[in-house]
Amino acid sequence: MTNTKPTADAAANEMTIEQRETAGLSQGTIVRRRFLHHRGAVVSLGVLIFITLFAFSSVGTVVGGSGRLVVDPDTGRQVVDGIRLAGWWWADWYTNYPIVNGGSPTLTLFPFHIGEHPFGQDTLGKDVFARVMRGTQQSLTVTVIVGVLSTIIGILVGAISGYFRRWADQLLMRFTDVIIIIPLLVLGAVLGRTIGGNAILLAILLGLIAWPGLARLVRAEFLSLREREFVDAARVAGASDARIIFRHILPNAVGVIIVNTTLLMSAAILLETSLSFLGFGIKSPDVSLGQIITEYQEAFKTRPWLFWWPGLIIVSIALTINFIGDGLRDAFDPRQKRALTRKARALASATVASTSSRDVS
Amino acid sequence: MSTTATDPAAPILEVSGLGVDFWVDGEWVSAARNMDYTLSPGEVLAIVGESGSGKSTSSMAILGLLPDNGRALGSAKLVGQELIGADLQTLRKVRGNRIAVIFQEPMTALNPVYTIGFQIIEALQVHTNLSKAQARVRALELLEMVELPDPQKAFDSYPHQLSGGQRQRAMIAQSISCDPLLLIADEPTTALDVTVQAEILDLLRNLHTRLNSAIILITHDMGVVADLADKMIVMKDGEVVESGTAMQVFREPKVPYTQELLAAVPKLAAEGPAVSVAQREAAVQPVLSMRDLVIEYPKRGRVPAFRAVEGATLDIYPGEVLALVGESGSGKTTIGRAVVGLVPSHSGELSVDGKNMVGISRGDLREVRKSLGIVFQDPGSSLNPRWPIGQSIGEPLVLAGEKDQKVVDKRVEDLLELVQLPRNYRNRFPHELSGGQRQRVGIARALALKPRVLVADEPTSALDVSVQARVLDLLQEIQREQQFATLFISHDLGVVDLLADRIAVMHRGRIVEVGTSSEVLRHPKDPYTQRLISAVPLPDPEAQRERREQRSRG
Repeated sequence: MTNTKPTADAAANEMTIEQRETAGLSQGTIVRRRFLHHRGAVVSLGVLIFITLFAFSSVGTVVGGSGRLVVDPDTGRQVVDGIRLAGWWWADWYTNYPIVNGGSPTLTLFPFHIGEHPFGQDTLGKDVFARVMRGTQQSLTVTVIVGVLSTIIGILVGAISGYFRRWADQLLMRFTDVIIIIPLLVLGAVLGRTIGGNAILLAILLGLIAWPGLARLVRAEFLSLREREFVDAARVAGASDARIIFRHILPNAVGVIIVNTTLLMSAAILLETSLSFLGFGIKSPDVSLGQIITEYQEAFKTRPWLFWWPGLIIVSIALTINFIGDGLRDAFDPRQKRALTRKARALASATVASTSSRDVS
Repeated sequence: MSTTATDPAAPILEVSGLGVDFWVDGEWVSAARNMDYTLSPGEVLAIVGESGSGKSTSSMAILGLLPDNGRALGSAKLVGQELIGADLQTLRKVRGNRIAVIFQEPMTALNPVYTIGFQIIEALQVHTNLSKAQARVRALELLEMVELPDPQKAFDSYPHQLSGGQRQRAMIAQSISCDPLLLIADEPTTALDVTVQAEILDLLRNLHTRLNSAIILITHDMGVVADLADKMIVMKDGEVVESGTAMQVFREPKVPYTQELLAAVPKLAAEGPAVSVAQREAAVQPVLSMRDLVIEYPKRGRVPAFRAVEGATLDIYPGEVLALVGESGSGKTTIGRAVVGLVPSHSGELSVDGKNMVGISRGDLREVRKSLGIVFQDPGSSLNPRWPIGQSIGEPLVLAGEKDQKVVDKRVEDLLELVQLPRNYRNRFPHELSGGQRQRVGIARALALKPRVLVADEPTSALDVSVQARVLDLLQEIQREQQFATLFISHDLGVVDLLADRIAVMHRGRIVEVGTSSEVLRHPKDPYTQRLISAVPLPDPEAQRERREQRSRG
């Protein structure tokens, strides 16, 4: 159902564009329009933006500082080192509060009631809602930085070696081989102590290592696309190498890049989780979603709510990123709308089966 | 099987009411309708039509090789056995064994990682119970039968080690390995050069008389039909518009469509029109000239340098169409690419519009390219599939420094009008256009900067004959109007005769003959040119038979 609707809409929209006989549309305009008509992608983008805003505005965030707990000389209470920007939620993610309601969630839907600790509390009395929100912030930061950084490096390395070949290719690919063989966990172990649980530095580190797979795919794509005649046509028209790479070839390689990047971003969340689990990632008192799950793994039977929310948010982030990626890929590929939907295909094969059996009899 | 034994003259294939439908966007769209024909042993039936006319699909339907969203209707009986709607088991026994297919492109139809011999043995062992040694002997026999010069060597070769013609022979050897009753040849010579095509057609003729199998020849080339076919069917939009013996159809085409189709085939007129080259004044400077031009592909690793063009000397004057003809690998495309600076020239002299291109700097090259345009062979790959065509056409303008978007828009619209496409096509993507329309876009782009020299690299070889005729007309019209010099690269002598003022013939990297069209085509001096011209099949069965006999005598 959701499959057929947006394609039909897109087709209808395409018709009106053509009929209007508007002045020329550039590729950028068309891609933007097509993306905005991809319902799944737009909804996902909305959800992702909502999650981001909600996570950052609710418990606020910390800018700079070491992220460790220090005692505030004025009040005598423990606070996080750095500039603390407060949010609208009353609790924070590092203070132990008196246990209310035995630690169970106070959130009820009928009647609707939020209560003091809507997602419950852990054994020490920390507010799970605040922890999940802070964790979401950290995980999003890691995902976005890893995604952006490794995509940029991967595209640049892959494009340059695939387009120029010869010594540039040799050099860059050998360098890629070197990066590939670095065991991530060992590197994490070595640098983890220096970084000391800072999510941004950790993400940059991961981003600097996670690109080789993408670079190889982009290189392969460029190697085949550079032989196509439209590249020669552009060259004869006087296009520079940079223009050919970024304006001509890259849009044709977008499918591969987006599939790989969405996988990479989802993998970044898990990678951060495993590093945290080993004690090299984001460390207490700071939290990440992965860390919450691993920290509470023993409590799975007794306090399942400690898993529900972080799990739900990890899944939502991964899903929305995938949907947005889908939408982008479809928007870049002008052929997409022509695809036969699964429903029509099923119908077609059913009719074929019935007619051919009739023919035999 | 018993039928063939009892009655050798009984028809091999009886097709009645055959139709093919495809499920597209929620309804059945008919790709072919109501085809009726019978085929006796030793007969060659040609199915002729333009792309999309259903000629291939209807034949593949006989083999049950339709895509998932297709269905076949009607009946096709192979020696009494119904094939339409037969189960997979039956069809699998028929395929390769009793009906064999020769595909258009032998490079893709043969598996590149196995030797030719292995692939033939495999085909033999699937359908017969020969031992490996017996199959090997038989495979060598087959390779000899298709007249490969060194069967043993071919047996041990991989597909890429053979030339195009040899690969097609190997393909044929594989398809006749089980003595099929019926051979379906789907455009068997389209990917080949004329001289090689003539050889393959001879081979097919010899083989089918020797094996007494019937052939369904699917093609768009009237010359090939005239050369080989006994009967023919003309198809248009899935409908059989005309059928009869080849002689009948060629001599007295009844339907207007067939007449058009025959008329659209560019042919070498027996006696050309009066020489149209205007007397040139001595003062006019050639806009493109080369002197002893050498083009080399530099050596890479262990592959030695390859000299693609040697000692080429040519002049093209403003307003003139010079055609460069030759077979694949003769270096004609290389010259075209060197002229636009896509391939560096090694030595000699190549000047475009007064500027020397040998050892040119990047900056100068960019300047020179403003007076150059190129139309590529394959309109499917020469337009960026992710760009609306308006943007593709406007790109040369933008790159030449035109900042004002309105000026670019205006020019793009003018250009679309020039190539007779509606203005609102500018927001369409290449895949939404037909082949002919795409090539028009390619021409519009090449003309965007009002070039002094246009290089057209086989601009119509990927198009159907009637579309080709229209695109050539258009090109000729624009050329007369704008008077740019054209380097027209082609392997099709008929097209060249239609268009060119002068012709240069290339063979193995050298220009062997240059002269006016009628000189070169009607009174060729060089033996290679003579051979090339005599290999072109004439779209007339009788004339073609005469020529064939002449060739075999000579």
